[in-house]
Amino acid sequence: MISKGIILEQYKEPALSRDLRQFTNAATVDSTFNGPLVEDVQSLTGEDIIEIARKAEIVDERDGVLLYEKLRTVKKGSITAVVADAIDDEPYISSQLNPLLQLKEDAIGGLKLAAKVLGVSSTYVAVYKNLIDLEMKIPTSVLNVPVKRIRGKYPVEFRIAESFNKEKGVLLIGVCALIHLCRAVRENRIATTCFITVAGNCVGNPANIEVSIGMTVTQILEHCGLIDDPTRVLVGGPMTGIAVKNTDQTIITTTTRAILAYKDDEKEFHYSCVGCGKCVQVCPEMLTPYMIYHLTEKKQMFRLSLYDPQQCIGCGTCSYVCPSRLDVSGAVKRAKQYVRAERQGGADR
Amino acid sequence: MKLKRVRRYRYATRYIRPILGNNVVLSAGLALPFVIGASTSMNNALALTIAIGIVNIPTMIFASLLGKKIPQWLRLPCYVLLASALVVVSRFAVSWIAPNIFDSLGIYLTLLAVNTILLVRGKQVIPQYNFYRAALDGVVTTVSFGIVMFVVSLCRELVGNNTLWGDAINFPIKLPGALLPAFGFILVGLLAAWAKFFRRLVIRYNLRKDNPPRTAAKLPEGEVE
Amino acid sequence: MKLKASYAPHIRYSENAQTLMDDTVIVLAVLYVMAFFYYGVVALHAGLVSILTCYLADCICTKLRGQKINFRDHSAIVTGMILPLLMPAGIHMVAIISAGLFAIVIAKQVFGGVGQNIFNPAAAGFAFTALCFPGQMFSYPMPFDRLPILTETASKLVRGPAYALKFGSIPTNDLVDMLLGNFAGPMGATNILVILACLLFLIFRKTVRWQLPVSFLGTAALYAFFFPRISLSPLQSVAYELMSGMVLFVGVFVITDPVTSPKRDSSKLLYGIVAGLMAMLFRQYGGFEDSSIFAVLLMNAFAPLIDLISEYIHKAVRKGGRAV
Repeated sequence: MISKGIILEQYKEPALSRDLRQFTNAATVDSTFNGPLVEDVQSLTGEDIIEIARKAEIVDERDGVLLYEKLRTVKKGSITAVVADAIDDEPYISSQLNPLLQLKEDAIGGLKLAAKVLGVSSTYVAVYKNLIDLEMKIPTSVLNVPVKRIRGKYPVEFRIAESFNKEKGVLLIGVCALIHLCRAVRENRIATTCFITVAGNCVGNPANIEVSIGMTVTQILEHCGLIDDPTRVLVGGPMTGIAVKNTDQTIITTTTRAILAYKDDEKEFHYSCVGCGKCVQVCPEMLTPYMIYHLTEKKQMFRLSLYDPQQCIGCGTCSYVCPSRLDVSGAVKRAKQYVRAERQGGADR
Repeated sequence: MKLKRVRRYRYATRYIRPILGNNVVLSAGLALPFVIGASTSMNNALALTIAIGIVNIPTMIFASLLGKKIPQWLRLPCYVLLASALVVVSRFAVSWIAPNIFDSLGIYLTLLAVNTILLVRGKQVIPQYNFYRAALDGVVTTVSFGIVMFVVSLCRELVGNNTLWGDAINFPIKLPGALLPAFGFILVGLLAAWAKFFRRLVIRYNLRKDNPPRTAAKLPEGEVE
Repeated sequence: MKLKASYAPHIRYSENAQTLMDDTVIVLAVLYVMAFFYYGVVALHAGLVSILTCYLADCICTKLRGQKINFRDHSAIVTGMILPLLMPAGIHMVAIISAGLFAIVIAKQVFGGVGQNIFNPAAAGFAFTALCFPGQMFSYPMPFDRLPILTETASKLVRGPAYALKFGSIPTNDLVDMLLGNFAGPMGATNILVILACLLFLIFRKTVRWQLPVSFLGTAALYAFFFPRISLSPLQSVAYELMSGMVLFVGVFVITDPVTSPKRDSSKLLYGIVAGLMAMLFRQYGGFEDSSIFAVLLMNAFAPLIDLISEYIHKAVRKGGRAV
């Protein structure tokens, strides 16, 4: 099957090979929840672990779901493997891979606890394969847990199930959530920090940092040092992130993965659609962004239901390859909202 | 725009609006085959205009007088019968223009019996008119058809054949492809767009006259917008 | 910090609309070099006039439509370069200018400008001029005849090998000569080897998808193989059919216009197959000696329909995939 998507240049160095730094404020350093410390980790049952995860308020950083809900709503017998998700398929971001390699015991400890909750025995760690410009070697197993390299072009996150076709079903849990789980079980710590990458060509010291949730973007950028005035500051990855206009009022949340600061002087040209069809060739869901864009721009929404815009996963690949630099993925998002609202019979859009 | 001005305009031009304001060919799209296919020379244009005048005006008078009395399903066939008779008359009327006019007109002269100006307007509009109004309507639609016909055939004959009324003229460009019906379609399309543009220009001028643009209020000194 | 807001994704592929067209401009410039080698300065002069006409007409019409002129838009230049390569060298300027004006003003700007045209502008311009001057468009001078630019001289004009094929006789050109382009034909369409090299370049640069030219030329070759017009071996028939006239040029440059062809790869295959069949049928039974360009115009009208049908098919495939 010819895979759809694009190959991106991953500028993950030097942040990937550096050590994990800390930047926490005093209120979050030693916050623990009430309850006795656990002496024997092996004697905990699955229900105990889920209860600890609930008290520690751990959130999975890829989809924003609370960890205890994720563990609790898994049907018995439907999965046979638990995978620690260290896939960073967007450029510049290594906020899952770096903590995995630096805090190995915490990550694998959390993975084993999750395996115990779900009652499965096979555990994996998933790492993206197409990392071309690395200075370090990704090991083939981390503390006896095999590392599975996921092949594919961007976006790869939602196609992981194809790589694990030997298993009946897998559950993906982010590495940072597993680290927090291990800390919660060991020291009763509430998850008040998150791991982010700070990178970009305006940042003096690109690195992965563990920061407290709620810090502003300005504080973090000053901590890392800016060597130049950026023209764009992004929260999130370069493909799916949000551009920030006011860095003093933008704070870190649990699902933030990176802060990027760029300086580029690209002149803005307003082209119109050339009709090249590249967006149709790269869409991983086999949609037709070309037609959806045209129908949305001309406000002919009644013809949209044929083109299925609600299937869009928001990867941004169509806008990436557009030679006219159009905002195709934004138009598809608007079409998605329209079709969803129509299907639910809602009158407000 | 002020409603009074619109009403006054509509009342004043109620008879002659089909000529330029709501051209029969360009805005309503009636009688297109003649403008597209048969407008390759000025002789043709003149012949067809005269012929359509001869066919339309008496039929419209007939429609206004007796239209209401004929049952609905029989109206159009009666008009077509009368128009066919008049086509025979028009053949004699146009034969003085050029000796071989019927060769170049071909079937278009016979097609006048069912031209859509008669069918559409005769069915919807004419039975309510009185005698004078119907005659005026026939004249006005003929004139509007004639204007478009002359413009199109002037372009096509000059560019395609380098002749004017049959006499050769020294024109630098000669494109025989302009005599093809495809080029006629393109020309009519461009003219229809131009007519619409012209109408919008008039509307915008009137709109501007009633609503002059307001100047921005002056900001106090030292304040940046 | 003065920050600007932008939409996700914030990095973009390095290729933009200008480089898309520039690939084709480079490849056509190579063909102009070959035409200069065979026919002299006349080729360059025709190309220059055509490019200027198309570019100016494009800019003026964009301004008339009320849009901002985009000076980096090279699609008009591509159209301007394709047009003289389909015509014989030394054709008078009226033909080239009228072809350029018709192509840009009526086949492209009237429909909405860049990216909105239904018909290929180069094909439409050539079709109009072929209908205007049917005798002159298909009489070619011999190569290595140095024709003067602006004066009218009587040079020896011959008919190309496609004319011979139409009447069932075998063209009298040597095969190696035909491969190198040393025979009478349209200015840019005779250099077979160079056009094949250009095709490989365009496919590897991903400017055109391989499905379109390969299916078009493959269908034409299969048709020539199974229904030869001349009584030689089928392979020689394929060689003569593909190398005479402008089928190869059309298959590489005219039908691969991304705006007017369907957008999905499977639709492009179907489109190429039907267009190849139509082109060979037009060549055999059509009015001119090589009417394959009219086949392209015909298929352009069907491209949105093929797109719509493939949308229905893909919707069923998506639903089936989800159900499984």
